[in-house]
Parts: sequence; structure tokens; C-alpha cells
Amino acid sequence: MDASVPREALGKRISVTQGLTALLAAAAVGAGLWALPGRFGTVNREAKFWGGTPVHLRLLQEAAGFELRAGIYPFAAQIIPPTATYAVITGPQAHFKRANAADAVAGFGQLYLLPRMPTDLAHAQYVISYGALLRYGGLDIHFSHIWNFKPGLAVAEIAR
Amino acid sequence: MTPRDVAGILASDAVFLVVGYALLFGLGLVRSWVRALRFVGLALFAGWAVVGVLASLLLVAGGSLALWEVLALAAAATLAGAAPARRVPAARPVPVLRERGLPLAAAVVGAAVVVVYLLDLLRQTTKEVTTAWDANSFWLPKAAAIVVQNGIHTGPATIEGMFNPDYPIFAPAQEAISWRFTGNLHVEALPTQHWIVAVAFLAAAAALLADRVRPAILWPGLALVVLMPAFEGLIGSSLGDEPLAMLLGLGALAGGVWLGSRDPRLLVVCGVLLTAAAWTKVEGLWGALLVVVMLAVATRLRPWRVLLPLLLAPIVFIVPWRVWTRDHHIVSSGAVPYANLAHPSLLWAARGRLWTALADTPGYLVDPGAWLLAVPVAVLLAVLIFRVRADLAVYTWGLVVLAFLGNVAVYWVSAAPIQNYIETSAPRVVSSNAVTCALLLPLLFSVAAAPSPEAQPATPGERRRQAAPAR
Repeated sequence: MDASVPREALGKRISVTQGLTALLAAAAVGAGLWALPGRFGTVNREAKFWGGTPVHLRLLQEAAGFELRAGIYPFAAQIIPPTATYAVITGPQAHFKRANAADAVAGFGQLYLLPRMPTDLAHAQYVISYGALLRYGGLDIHFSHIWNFKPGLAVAEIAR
Repeated sequence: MTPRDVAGILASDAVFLVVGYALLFGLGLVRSWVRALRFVGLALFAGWAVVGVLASLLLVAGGSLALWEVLALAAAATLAGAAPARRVPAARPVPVLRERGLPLAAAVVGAAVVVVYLLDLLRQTTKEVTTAWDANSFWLPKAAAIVVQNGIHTGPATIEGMFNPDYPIFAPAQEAISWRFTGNLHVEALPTQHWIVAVAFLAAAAALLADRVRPAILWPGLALVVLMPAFEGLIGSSLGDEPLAMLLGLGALAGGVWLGSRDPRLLVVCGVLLTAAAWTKVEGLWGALLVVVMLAVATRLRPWRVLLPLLLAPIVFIVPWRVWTRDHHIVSSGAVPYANLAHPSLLWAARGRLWTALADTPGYLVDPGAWLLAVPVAVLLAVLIFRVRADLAVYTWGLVVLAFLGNVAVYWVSAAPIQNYIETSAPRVVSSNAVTCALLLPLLFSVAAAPSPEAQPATPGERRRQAAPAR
């Protein structure tokens, strides 16, 4: 022990533990301060973005992020009755631009199309075609009506 | 959001609040207006957890989760929660800690950051809808199926045909409750409800720590929680990871506080939250059991009589779901073959996956861009406090390390392509671990910052002399 240090001061001396704790506290607070402006900035940008997007388009925002032609969902919502079931199928005319986009077609339409419930092709009352060739009999399904939206995009009622 | 959405959301939260207060009243945690104010967040959060579990059980029993059923469940839970009040005495009132001077300023700044940031976040949540893939593809469609089809069913166009049909249904049940109260299927109403639950979660953490952690540590600590970018990303996401992280995190915090106080009331709160966690996702049960096991290890199993019910609660309450999925032949679309862990030859053959998981997963857990420094600081603090609070140190290490190894084990035994699996899931699945660390930080800092034994005067005489006022 250093004899020059008054004994009364020993009780006030900062221990190694407290010193390291202070360092960790400084690191944690520093990280928080580093994040602070960015967090507020991100939240404000998000709030502004969502505020400027009409309610009916908010649900389609992520589908647009996958560069999907999201207009098919509002089109389908006009045709498929709220109590009906539907299946989403894709095909060679889809021309997807991003990876996983084929999976995203069915996923990102579900919330927009509520309360219509998705199901598999064998049990669906309607089909939303994203690039599938409905007219050429490849699906072995008979349709009572087909509504074309754009080339490659259509909604069809299955004849059962 | 429409005015009806707002009214519906607030009505559902009023119900949760009543249920939660009844539970806390029965436990003796809330027997005065002052304590009611302090525990308002815990009451709402615990009520939300209780109603969520009961609603899930009701769905399994064939209920439709109609509004009257939710209200009846809540009434029953309120009566049952308050019933023990006659026998359970009020908790010994421990005054909350207060500050003066510079520490007070630090506490005020921390609290201001929490409040201002959460209010800012409210502006976002009232306008946004979730864009998370899993929420779009199965979490919210499951909730919609509950509402549209009046319960859970199997067959075409039901939850059976959606991704992960074997996942427990706490999160879809909660969304369905929100929709029952709003009377529609407005997806844009949900993030605000999630925001309210997140606020309750933070207020609950503050209430649990208020008599143990100085405000100068507590409020900056909670500010760090809300500022974690990935935590903000969870709020309103409608992912199962969102309730899982909050329930496991707050349950672990209640357990951590119990280590210091040994108040059994905290274990009941912990048990409620862990049981709800077991109903959120498949791994929720494992996370809940890990918390209990680490409490047992930290206490060397001495209080096993109170820990045993805590261990059994999540298991017993999740059994009905497991029975229902088995009876209805629900096949998981992304099942993790945990049984492979018992086959050394399979594990050896997949050792490449293990090295990949061990190399890649830690980066997500300690990513400062997602979780700031919550995990590394918590681990290092646990090292520092080992000499004075070995129980809390071991508890913290165990939760962090074993939860991490659990994640790695899943990647190891799964058959999914490892790189894609890690990239698409690791940012989410580490959230429970990171949120738990962030919640434990104020408690760990509080212990570490306390005067250590070696800094204390050596003799009682010296201690008296130092305590005496200067002449």
C-alpha cells in the first residue's frame, strides 16, 4: 500500500470494478448518443413516408418493394367476393425481377385481400394469376370467367 | 386509423389493465393508489399476457374468440386474479430511490429521451402497417382466419395451410382480440396497439427496478432499450418475435430482481410472462425453461419448492396446444428436427453447419447497428459483479450463452440451406437474447456501481470515523 495516501482517502478511492463499470457505462451511453439522431431521423422519415401513403396502398408497399405489379390485388378485390377463397398462381409470364419475388406474390396480397382467405388451387373458388397461362389448359382447371388486368395478370373464377 | 379503431384498441387495453391490476392486487403488489400508479405498466402488460394465454386456450377448446367470450374470459381472470388477496398480505412497501443534483439531471435526461422518442414513435405507428414477410405471410393471416372463421379450424383456407401451422397462437390471438374490439380487419390499427404494449413493457421494467436501481442508472438504461434500432423495428411488426422478446425479457428481469429480493410475488409475475412466452413461438417454451433453469442454477436449487411450479407452468399450459396439433395432424412446414441432437453421427456429418453458425450468428447478437452494446456490456458487467453477486452474474451469463447456443443448435440440426437460413432469421431470433440483456443492464450497472468491499474502510472504527461529519 502507498504510505503517502491518507487512510481516510482509502474509502473514497475508486475501485478497479467501479472504474471498469464507469468505462462500460460510458461505452453504453456513447452508443446511445451515437444512435440518438439516427433513431429520431429514421422515425420521422418513416412517419412522413407512411403519412403520405394512402391507407389502401400501405398494405401494398412491400409488394412494390419486390417490384411486383401490385395493381393486381386491388383489381382482384373488386372481383372476388369477401366470403370467397382464392389461390395465387405464378407462371412463365411473370418476369420476376428480384429473388424470392415468386414467393412474395401470394404473401403480400393476403392482407390487402382480407377477409378473403387464401387456399390451395384444389379448393379455391377464384384464381389470381400472376403470369400463369390460364387460357391454354395447362392447369387442367375450367374457368367460368376470366378478367384480364394487364398482360400476364388476371383473375379467374373456377367452374366447379 | 379510424376513430372506431382507436376506441376499440383503448377498450381492449382497458380490459387488459383491469385483469392485470386484479392479478397484482391478488399478489399484494398493488394495494394503494400510489403503487397502482407505479405498476400501471406491469398491470397492462401482465393483463395482456394473461388474456392472451386464456384466449389461446379458448381457441384450442373450440371457442370463436367472439367479443363476449373475450370479456367473459377477462371477467373470470379478474376474479381469479384478485381472489388470493384475502390470504396474501400486501408487499412490504419499499420506497422508490430518488436522486439529487447531477444524478437527478441524468435521470431526467434519460426519462425525457424515453418519453420523447416513444411519442415520436407513436406518430409512426398510427400510420404504418407491417411490412415484415412472416407477418404478411402467416402471422396476420392466422389472426384473420380466427376472426373470419370464428376460431381455429383445419382444412382448406385455414391456419393449417399457412406457414408454420404448428406455431402456438398467442400472437394471432392478440391480433384477433384487437380486431374483435375494433369490429373490422384494419391492419393499420394494429401497430398502435403494439406500441401501447411496448410502452407498458418499458413502464413495467421501470416499476420492477424502481426500488432497486437508482434513477440515474434506470432511466438512461431504459433509454438505451428504446434506442436500440432493432427493438424499434420489432414494435408494430406483428412478428412472433416481438411478443416473445418482450415476454421473455421482462420475465427474465422479474427473475433477476427476485434473485435479490426473494419476494415470491415476483416469481408469479415471472411465471405468467414465461407461460405467455411459451405460447408465442415454438422456441418460446425453451426460452422460458432456460430462465427457470438459470434461476435454479444461480440459487443452487435451494428454493426448489418455488422454482418447481415456475418450471411446470409453461409446460402444463402449452400441453393443450401440442395435443390439438397432434390430434389434428398439423404438420410443421419448417420443423426443426431437435431429435437429431441425440444422434452424434448426424451431428458430425453436419459439422460444417455448426462452424458456419458459430461464425456467423454472434455478429447478429452483438451488432451495434441493431442492439447497440447491450449484449457485450451485459456480459462484461456480469464478469465485474461476480465477486459481489455471483448469482446475478451466473444468471446473466447462462441466459446469454445458452440462448445463443440454442440458436446455433437449431441452425446445426436444421435441413434448410444454412446461409440463407441465418441471413433471413438470425436478426429476429437473437432479439429475445438482446432485449433480455438490455433489460438486465440497469440491474447489473446498479450492482457494479455500488461501493465494492475492497473500497470500504477496513474496520468498524474507520467506518464510524468516515461517517462522522467533518468539524
